[in-house]
Amino acid sequence: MLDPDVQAELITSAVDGDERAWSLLVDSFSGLVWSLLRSHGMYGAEAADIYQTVWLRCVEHLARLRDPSMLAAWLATTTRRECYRITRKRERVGSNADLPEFADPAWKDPAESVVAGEQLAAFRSGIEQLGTSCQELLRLLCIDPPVSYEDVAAALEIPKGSIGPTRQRCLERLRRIIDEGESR
Amino acid sequence: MNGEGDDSEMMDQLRRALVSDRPPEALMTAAKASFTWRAVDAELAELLSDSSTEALTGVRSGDGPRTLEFASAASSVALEIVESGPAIGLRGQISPSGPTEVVVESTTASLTLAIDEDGWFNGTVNLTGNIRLRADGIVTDWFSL
Repeated sequence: MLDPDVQAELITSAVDGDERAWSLLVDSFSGLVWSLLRSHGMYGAEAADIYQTVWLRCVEHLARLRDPSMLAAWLATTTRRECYRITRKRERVGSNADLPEFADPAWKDPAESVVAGEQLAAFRSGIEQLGTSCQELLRLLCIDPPVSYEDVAAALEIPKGSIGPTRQRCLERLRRIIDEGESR
Repeated sequence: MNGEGDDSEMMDQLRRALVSDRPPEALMTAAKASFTWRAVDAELAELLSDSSTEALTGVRSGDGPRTLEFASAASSVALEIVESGPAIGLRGQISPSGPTEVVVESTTASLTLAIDEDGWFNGTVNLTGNIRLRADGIVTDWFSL
């Protein structure tokens, strides 16, 4: 999580041509872009395409942010717009979405034990079944390194105070989805 | 109703489940390399509209060419994209007219098209991925084909 003053400095430096500052911004905000595109069901080549477009465009827009704290909101809006474009494109050409890597039964996180792996797999497929806004919130809150509450609120265009209650409601839904999956 | 403790335990589980879902290293490297495409000397023509993000209506409007509009304080670019196979047909107009050529660039290649006296240009390009247009001190936002 970047301190707001550090973030403002990094943006100023990057605008002035400091490539290292730009790299740190990419490191700090990649999780945000990635979480949002996942929440819109983007995987594989589609995810890669959106991620690249957002960062290429960001280079030129950095200098035009009215306020450095607007970066998260700008990235979120641009990512959502690109997700929307891909969704429209699928409808138009009648193609299917790229599937999550872990939808493949052979997929396994090498770091997970078998028992833990099954539990975590239930979470991974559970979150996929949540609505977009719950996915956006929960995924943003899971990012490592974490994104500040200010940025989460800005990215979702909700007041900071409603993050807690919304999180509770979304977790409740997720719990129900996972329980239903287990009892089947 | 579950307590606060249950919720935080659940968040921990969710974090563990999602920890390895991050952008691949190669993509992050490419994002960092985007910086080399900084157009410091040019005026940005921002993407104002893109027909490919408009909702489909009852009629099959999706079959027409994709149209994009860009504008800076001083100029605007209208663009029409017709896809047919690997080749992409581009047709557009820059206003005010004046520039005599437009460079279509991707992150791996570029080519130049002539602009006529009324600002019109057209041509076929074999580019993929993200592209942008550059003409006489104007550069458009990147857009994905």
